[in-house]
Amino acid sequence: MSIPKRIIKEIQRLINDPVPGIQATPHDDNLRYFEVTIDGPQQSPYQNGRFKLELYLTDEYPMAPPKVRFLTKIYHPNIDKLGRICLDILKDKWSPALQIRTVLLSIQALLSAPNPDDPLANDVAEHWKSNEPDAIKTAKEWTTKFAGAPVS
Amino acid sequence: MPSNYATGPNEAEITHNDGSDIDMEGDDSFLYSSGNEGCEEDDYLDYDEEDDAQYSNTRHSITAASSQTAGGTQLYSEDYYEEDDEYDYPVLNEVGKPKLQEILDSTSFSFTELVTKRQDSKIQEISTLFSLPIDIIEIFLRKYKWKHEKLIEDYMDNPEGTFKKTGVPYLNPTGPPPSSSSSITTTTTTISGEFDPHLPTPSISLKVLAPSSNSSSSSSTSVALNTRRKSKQAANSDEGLVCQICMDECTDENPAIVSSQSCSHLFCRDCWTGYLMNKFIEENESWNISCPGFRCDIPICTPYNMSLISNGGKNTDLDKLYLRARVWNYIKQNKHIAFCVHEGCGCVVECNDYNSTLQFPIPIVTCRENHVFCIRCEVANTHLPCPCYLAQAWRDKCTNDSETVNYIAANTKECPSCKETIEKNGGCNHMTCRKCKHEWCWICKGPWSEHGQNYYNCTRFNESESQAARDATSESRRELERYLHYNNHFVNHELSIKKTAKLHITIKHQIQEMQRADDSVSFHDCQFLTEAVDVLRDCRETLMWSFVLAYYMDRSVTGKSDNQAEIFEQNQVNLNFHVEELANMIENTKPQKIHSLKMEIMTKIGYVRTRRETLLKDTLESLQKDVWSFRNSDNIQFGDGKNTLQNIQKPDTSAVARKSMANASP
Ligand SMILES: [Zn+2]
Ligand SMILES: [Zn+2]
Ligand SMILES: [Zn+2]
Ligand SMILES: [Zn+2]
Ligand SMILES: [Zn+2]
Ligand SMILES: [Zn+2]
Ligand SMILES: [Zn+2]
Repeated sequence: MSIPKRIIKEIQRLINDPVPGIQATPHDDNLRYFEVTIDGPQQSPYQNGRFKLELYLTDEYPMAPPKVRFLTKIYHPNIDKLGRICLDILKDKWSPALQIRTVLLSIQALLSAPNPDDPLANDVAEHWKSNEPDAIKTAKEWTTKFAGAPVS
Repeated sequence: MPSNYATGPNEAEITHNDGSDIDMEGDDSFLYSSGNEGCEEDDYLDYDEEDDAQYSNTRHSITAASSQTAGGTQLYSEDYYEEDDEYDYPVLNEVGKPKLQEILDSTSFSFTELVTKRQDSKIQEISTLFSLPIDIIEIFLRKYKWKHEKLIEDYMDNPEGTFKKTGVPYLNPTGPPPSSSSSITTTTTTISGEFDPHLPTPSISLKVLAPSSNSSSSSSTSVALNTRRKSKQAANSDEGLVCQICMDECTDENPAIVSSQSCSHLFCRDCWTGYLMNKFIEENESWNISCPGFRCDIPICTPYNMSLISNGGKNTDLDKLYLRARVWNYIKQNKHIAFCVHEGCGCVVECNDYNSTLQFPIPIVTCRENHVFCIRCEVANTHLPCPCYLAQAWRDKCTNDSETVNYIAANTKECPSCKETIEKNGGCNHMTCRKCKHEWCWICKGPWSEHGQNYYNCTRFNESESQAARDATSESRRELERYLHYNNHFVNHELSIKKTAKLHITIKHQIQEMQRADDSVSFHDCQFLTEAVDVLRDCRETLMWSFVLAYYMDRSVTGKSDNQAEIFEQNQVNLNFHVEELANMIENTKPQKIHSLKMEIMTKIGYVRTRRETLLKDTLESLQKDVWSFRNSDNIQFGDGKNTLQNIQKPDTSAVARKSMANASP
């Protein structure tokens, strides 16, 4: 399968003009598969954590959204146990005019602003809504435990 | 929030410069939004059945198809049975028989044409009425799920609101646009008396842009766009227009098409095509397609735009897919037209009198292949005489509860003392209530203390003490048993219907035997046997659903309708009895003898048929007169809720095994 020019261009730009706090590297043998690292945003419970994700561009891309999943465990109301992400632009609000970098930026933004009213992980969302400080505490603990943040 | 991005992108950033720098930069915060719209359908136009009923008194029937109507389709009217001696499923006309592939293969296929014609004539009609271009009406109608009465009503009430609701930039047919849309004033056309409804509508129409290398020739592009392009070109003069999807420069062969003057998103023709093909194929829809731009809601799927993207019909695949999606959309949105629910059939059935039928509980239709189904439930077979909502409640109940309910029925009893639901584990009849510690016997429900050492055999079933304990069953338990009673009847008839295929083979065999015994017996002579099997099938189906009706019927509040309920039960018992007799006659008579029973069987067939008609007629009349009240299907619970359904899960077998081991040595 040949790689569309658009994907090549996106890769070039991701390498030449990287987004702060985000690394996305395509696999040597499959340019549609990316290893991604997102730094936890400042002022969020994920601060100082480094989160690994995988991103895959299907053959339909860019008509269909990329498939993205967290590999690092994360305590977040919109991300479930399997690392799947509830984000509108990865579903019905996808636009072919969006790109890998915009998708990753949106995910980074999701870490800064969890939305427990539109949960994917119900128990986490419940926790968030009933006792936000405690939920944030758990999220920080997980960030230390799984995403390598120093103990705060 | 991205709202500003959705409608008016920062104009300076749009399109072309170094090809990779597409307008995704700037303030990153606009990107993220995970509001509810992300995970849930947000469809304000999603009318449900109730809404539908509101304007059901107006007809949806479409004239183009009436020519095919096989005469009167006034279903179940009072005189229906008088007019027609032979009961038949209400005759409904069929529109045609499109298989998906056929639609794709042949654009001249009659059904596609028929639906297209209807759509077009309706669009034309409303276009004239509103003095608006057909492109806009097409979007309106699709968003209104082809409910033109509702559209007309809304539009007359509040034209601007209709535009807003459907996402179409406002276009005032009679005067200048209101100040709120001042940003697109220059592009908004005011339509005068001599307007041509087929002309492109600036606010939603696409436009082909010539590549910038010969920008002087692109005189048709809007002023705004030209200015923008020139300013960009000044900085980056060797760059042409860059498609925001493939990131390639547009060419003469693959020109840039700009989405509209309201959003100015720009893509090449190939990408437009790819985007639409993907929508048509993957999502099978044509009604909700908006501009591919990020968070851009401008509807773009209009006849004018389609012909522009397919380059005046040169892309036939795209045109065919569009046509297919448009027809599908129409069928899916119109409740009185449906694809036959039988797998692989592909017929389309139209219920011409759907709206008059809607006031009637059960719109049953028959397709060209003689498949019978309810067009409202879209479930195979009929559920006469049970109204749709009860039939649906029953189906839900059976799929949700049956396993649990049957498990509870077979494996639990209530403690005679405190009514706690107790599960039987293992073979011992000695039950000890986990709640009140009462000890009792599983078989007779009497107190265990009277049973002595007789662990495995209870001989006290008829003792008064035991009987009293059994009589004291709680209401919830009685509810459960009641359900099982009706469910048993339902399931038994259902099973018998499933055996019908086998019965047909038996009958064939019997006919052969008869012909062997008597040369004069012709195949025609034996037709009565096949007829008997078919009549049995129909009757059993009616009986099945009559038991469902009986289950939901609330006899406690009926009052004056008791009479009707009794007639219903009489009819039911009567039909049930004669159906079993007829079944017995043809299943258990030796082939040699069956011919001598011909007259008797034929009489029986006639009689059973009449019984069924009577039951249906009486029941439907009662339903129409609304004499019965039905138990709220949602509120019917087995057990006291907490104790039974939730708490008692089917135990995994190992747990049962462990428990029974523990119980085995008393
Ligand atoms: Zn393109
Ligand atoms: Zn747009
Ligand atoms: Zn059919
Ligand atoms: Zn129905
Ligand atoms: Zn008890
Ligand atoms: Zn025992
Ligand atoms: Zn007993």
